[in-house]
Amino acid sequence: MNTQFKKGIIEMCVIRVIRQQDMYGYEVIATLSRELDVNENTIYPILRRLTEQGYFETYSEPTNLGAPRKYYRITAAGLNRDDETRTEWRAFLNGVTKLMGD
Amino acid sequence: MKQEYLHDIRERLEDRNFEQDDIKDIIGDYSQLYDDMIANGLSEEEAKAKLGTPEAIVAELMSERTVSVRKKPMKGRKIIPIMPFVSTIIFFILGFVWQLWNVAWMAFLLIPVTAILVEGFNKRFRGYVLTPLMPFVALVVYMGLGFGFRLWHPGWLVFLLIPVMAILETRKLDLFPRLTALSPFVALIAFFVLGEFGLWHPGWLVFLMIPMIAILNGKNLIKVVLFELSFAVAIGLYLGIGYGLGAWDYAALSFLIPLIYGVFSGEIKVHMFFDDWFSRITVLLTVAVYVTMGVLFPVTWEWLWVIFLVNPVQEIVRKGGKENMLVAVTPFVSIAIFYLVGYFVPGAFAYSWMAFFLIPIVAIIKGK
Repeated sequence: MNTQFKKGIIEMCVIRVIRQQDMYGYEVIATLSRELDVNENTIYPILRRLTEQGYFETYSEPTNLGAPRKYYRITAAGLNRDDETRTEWRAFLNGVTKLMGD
Repeated sequence: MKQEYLHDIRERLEDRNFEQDDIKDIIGDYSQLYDDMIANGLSEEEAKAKLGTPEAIVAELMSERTVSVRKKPMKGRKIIPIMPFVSTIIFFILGFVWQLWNVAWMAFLLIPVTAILVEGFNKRFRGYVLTPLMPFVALVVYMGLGFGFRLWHPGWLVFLLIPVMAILETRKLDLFPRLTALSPFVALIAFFVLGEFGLWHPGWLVFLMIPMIAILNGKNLIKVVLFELSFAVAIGLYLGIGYGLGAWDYAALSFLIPLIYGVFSGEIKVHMFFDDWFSRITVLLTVAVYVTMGVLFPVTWEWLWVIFLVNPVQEIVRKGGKENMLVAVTPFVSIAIFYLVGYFVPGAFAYSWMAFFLIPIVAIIKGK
């Protein structure tokens, strides 16, 4: 699959899973790689970029591992983005399904 | 392993001119991801494989970067083009007003020095700030010592500050490897300073700090302690027999204690270098020649130590690649030329240090 296309899908999924619950970095990577055949090292840079773009905000929670853990929480901009991409994705899938004849 | 991995990522981010705040944040995140992977049962190798190589990570971060990757303008960059004019003015003032034409030319060193300082403080040298300056500082100090006080020798020792500063500034070395890397330069400087006070003997003992510090890199504490003790005993015996009985020749035999222990213990890292019988026999032969000659002809103690350079050279010739052999051997050849010419030709230490120029010359000629 085309790398950019795949990245677009990962981006959509990252926003989606964090919308469902606040997550820390490794949790996002583990959740996605459990369901998708993705290269784990591509997920963190996307997560970081989406945070810089304002779709997530971060906060720290203490852990028993040592340093406090950084959690990602979706913002209002992230919620809008998720709604948009969901609509686009459904329309896209419908079109593809029609074309493929399944 | 984790620190080394994070360090590699950091260096690559710095190379790509990421902001320091971003680098700190990214390294913190990768440190956390790494810990989480280990906590979830992955080995360190598996965690690294999942996170990606430092090259791949930085390439991904670059492709996802939201801000422009253009280099930020350097702070203080405007001073760089002004410096040629400032230097020229200083040059003429020093020359015409104080007739200091012989040193006035050094004003022009301000041009590269300023550029290096500006670039260094803008973090363009991967964390090095003072190292790129050292050649200029060393040159000025050397000229000052030479012209001002006729101290060309041992003034040339200031050039050793160039590698010393590089070792001090690098972030790649932990404490003991850093001390090990510094030790030859510190020993050489100490040796010549002691020599200036007439203490060539037993001042040469300072060279023992090189193996004694290198030993500290060993992982087996008992072996490290035993090896250090063997050196301490040898030095004690040498000085005791030498000063007590005046038998310096026989006193030197005490150094066989750490030598034999070192060659045959084999487990301490520093001795892994001599890991085959040919090398061990060469070591013993050079020691035998040195000691025998020293006992028979005491004057050879002072210069025949050069024979020990045969050991690393034969290792390089036998095991190193042909392509870089000459470059790797040159430092040892330079040391031999430097010392033998300096020792046998009266007053030649003042210029025999130039043998060290062979190192960059050969590297440049053999470089691609």
